[in-house]
Amino acid sequence: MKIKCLLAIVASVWLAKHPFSMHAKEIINQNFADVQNVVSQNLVAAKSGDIEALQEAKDALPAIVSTDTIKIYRHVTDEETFFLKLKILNVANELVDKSFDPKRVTRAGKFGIIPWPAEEDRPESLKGKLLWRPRQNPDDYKETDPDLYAYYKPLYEENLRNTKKHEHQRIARTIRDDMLRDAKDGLKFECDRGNDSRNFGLYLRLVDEIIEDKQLRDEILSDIPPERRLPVSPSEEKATP
Amino acid sequence: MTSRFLTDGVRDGDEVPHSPGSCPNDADDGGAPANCVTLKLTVGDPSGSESERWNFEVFEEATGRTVVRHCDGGFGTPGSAEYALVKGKAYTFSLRWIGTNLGNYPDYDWQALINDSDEAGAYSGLYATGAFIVEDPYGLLTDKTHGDSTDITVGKQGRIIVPKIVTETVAASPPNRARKTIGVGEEVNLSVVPAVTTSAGDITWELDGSGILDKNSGVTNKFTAPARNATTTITASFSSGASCSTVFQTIEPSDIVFENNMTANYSGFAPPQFDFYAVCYWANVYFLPDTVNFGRMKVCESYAQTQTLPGYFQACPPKPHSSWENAPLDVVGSVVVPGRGTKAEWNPGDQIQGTSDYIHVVPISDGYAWWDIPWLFKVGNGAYKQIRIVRQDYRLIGDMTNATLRVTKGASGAEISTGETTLRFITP
Repeated sequence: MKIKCLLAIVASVWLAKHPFSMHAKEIINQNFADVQNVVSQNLVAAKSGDIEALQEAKDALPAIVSTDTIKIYRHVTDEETFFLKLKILNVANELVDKSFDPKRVTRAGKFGIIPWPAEEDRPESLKGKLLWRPRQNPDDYKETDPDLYAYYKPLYEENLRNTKKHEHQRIARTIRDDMLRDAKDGLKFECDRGNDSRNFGLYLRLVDEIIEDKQLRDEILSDIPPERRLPVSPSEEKATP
Repeated sequence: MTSRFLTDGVRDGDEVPHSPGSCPNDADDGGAPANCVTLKLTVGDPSGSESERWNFEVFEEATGRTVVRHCDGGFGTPGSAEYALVKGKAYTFSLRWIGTNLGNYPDYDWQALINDSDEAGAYSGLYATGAFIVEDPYGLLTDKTHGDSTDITVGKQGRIIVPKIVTETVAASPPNRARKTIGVGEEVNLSVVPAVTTSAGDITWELDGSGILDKNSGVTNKFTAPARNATTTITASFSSGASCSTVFQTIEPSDIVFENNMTANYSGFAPPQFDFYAVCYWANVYFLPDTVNFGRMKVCESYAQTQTLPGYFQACPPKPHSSWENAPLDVVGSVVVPGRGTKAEWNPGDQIQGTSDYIHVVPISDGYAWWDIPWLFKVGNGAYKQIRIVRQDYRLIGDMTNATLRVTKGASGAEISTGETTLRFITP
């Protein structure tokens, strides 16, 4: 009896310390149609200005995603992944504002940090005065200091816009860079395989069909010898065994 | 005396016997058994004639260099011994007839085995040293073959492929990109080497633990570390059954380092030119430890209540520190500085500001106030976790005629005194 009690205590202590040990991870299997559906929906949202959706489209690609409680297997071939990456790259490229300079410093700053203007740049009513703190909400001054409120609020709103623009561009550029690198690597890998490659012709055709920006197409093909860059027709592609 | 040490600086005597050992003929193993797979080779003449002598020779495929020359036990006596081959390499093997005791009429009978087997395919190394793949298109491996009047092994080769997963962090800093300890969210490129076509079939990948793998097949892949401390084993399996693994340890940030950024614009205000004291400066922010890269995480500061000691700031306490959990900053961090960690790329850094009230409103006296600010991190859209509490404080020392305002945050700080027109940096 004593041994049974002891075992029960040990078991309850172990269960308290390892509450998830009794549960296997939930396994989720997704096929190409599932993944393509998620990517397509998110790309539509991204084109409408939802930059997080572009990130979610990219996050839908990895073949194995494992956390403490869940494991997702995406059964997608290299060719299908290449196709989806080109789709994401095409949209990311559209969303990148080529004229945006992330290093340009503006009067209103970004990320809630608005530099105090020099004395000579301030309106007369604010000369020699204490101004705002980092990330200070302008509404804090609405009643107590209307002059400061009137000067600071537009700067604060511009700062919010700058922050949003900066974040959007950072995400779009990062994803464009990642997808471009993967597309170039995938194409180069197949090209280097020579006659052993099953997908080189297919990849060239997909680049030609999906990527709308000629300059981007040239970037993707930049590691491929010029004489091998011409897309082939589907009938000329090697059949996948 | 180089023969005792050969090329890898480890005494050959220490590299063998193999239980498990490393390869005395190859410096690429670094003298470490963990970098090798151990196998057993057998060769000789097992036939009733007991007449022939043989060698079993193994060559590095890329260079043709001989790495094993295994002899039998004498005429008619097969001999076995254990050898270590370096992971990540492909080898060829062949048999060499040495002699006969039948005078002018050798019968070329032979036996050749790997791990006591004459089969091609996937093998497990001895002592759990890993997997290797044997290709034997000419049937050199045999329990017993009667060669009769001709040495039919001449010009024939088999292959031994010892796969491993080579890892390279995407981040180029810190400089050891082969490290297996990585920061939360850090990315690592993976490739199975040797990059040779084998009969062992396609490679499939699996992940045990937490994290993300880009692909489930192919010779290359990319691993993304999870958002919390974790041990993750990644395995590449050949369809023949052979596999190789690598283990990553993911670690969270343990500390934050602040450092005055003296190159960024800073400003100070003090009487008599102004009716208040204020300092505003920037600090570079780093995340420890410096052994990994934390560039893929996001961080923010959380809400902190203002705390004060009796004195000036009880009369005019700074407002509570507001949270910016809804707008975290990406560390980005392409540089890891030894002793400081991953440097956040927030040009010009973390803005730190402190002020008194107008001195005509609240007369100057000694005072001390502070925020204990929780610094949080997360990866992607995951949950936040605290790195540590960082104290930002304000100290006012003096009176209406002469005073100093000092602001510090971690190891950064600045102060300004009555009559000064710019701040002075300090290191608390």
